[in-house]
Amino acid sequence: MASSQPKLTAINSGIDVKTTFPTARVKRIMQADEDIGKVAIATPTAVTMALQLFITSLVLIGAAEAHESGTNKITVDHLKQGISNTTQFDFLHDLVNNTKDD
Amino acid sequence: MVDEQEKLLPIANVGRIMKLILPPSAKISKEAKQTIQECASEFISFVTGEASDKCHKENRKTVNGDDICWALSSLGFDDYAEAIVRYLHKYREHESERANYKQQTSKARNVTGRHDHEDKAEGDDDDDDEEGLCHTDSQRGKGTTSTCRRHPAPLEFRIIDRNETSPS
Repeated sequence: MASSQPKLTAINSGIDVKTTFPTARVKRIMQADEDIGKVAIATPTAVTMALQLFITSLVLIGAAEAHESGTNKITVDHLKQGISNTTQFDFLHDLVNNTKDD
Repeated sequence: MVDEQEKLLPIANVGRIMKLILPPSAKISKEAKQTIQECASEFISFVTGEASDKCHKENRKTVNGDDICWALSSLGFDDYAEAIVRYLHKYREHESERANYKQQTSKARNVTGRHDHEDKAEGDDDDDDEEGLCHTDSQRGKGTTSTCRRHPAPLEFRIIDRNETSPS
């Protein structure tokens, strides 16, 4: 693992992520918001792509924090720490700060 | 009433990504997995909301892939936006190949074809799942008048390209 890299992101990790995502579920989550009207066919797929990148980033951030604290198990605390250190994830602050630690 | 789980991605997807990108010795607590699951839904709403606002401002009713890319850039996810722009480009090429194929096969069969409403409308959920990530190479359309039944190859998209590095 490239632990010497200061910042490993989903894009530059060189990892090929080909998991199947339930695009229909993504579409339902999108449309759970009443303000969202119609979506073009390609749109849930575009969102799914972004999601894979996002989840990958989050996992990598959690792993980096866990590694920093000398453990190989990622906990909620590690995620909280990583999220507060990443401006890209500011929008998650409230969500994770209301999450119980494990 | 929507089932709570319906608002979240299946947690198995989180586990699967983990297995792919972390060493086998890495572990994650159940609560951390759930947190990631919730963050994922939050991300979807966040990006979609931004894209939808743009559509409203421009008096458009349908959120499309370009709106999502714009929203990603606007929210600080430029690197994701680039990758998806490339995907959408391939997707549109693929779609026009498919449209050509359908045209050719319907001519070959001498059928007054029924027009498929492929774009810009709420489609069937079933179709979406098949149009998702596929695993074989896409080829340029051969343009032959085909009696051969070859379907255009499904679209391949590798989200993370080994050969490229992000500029940042």
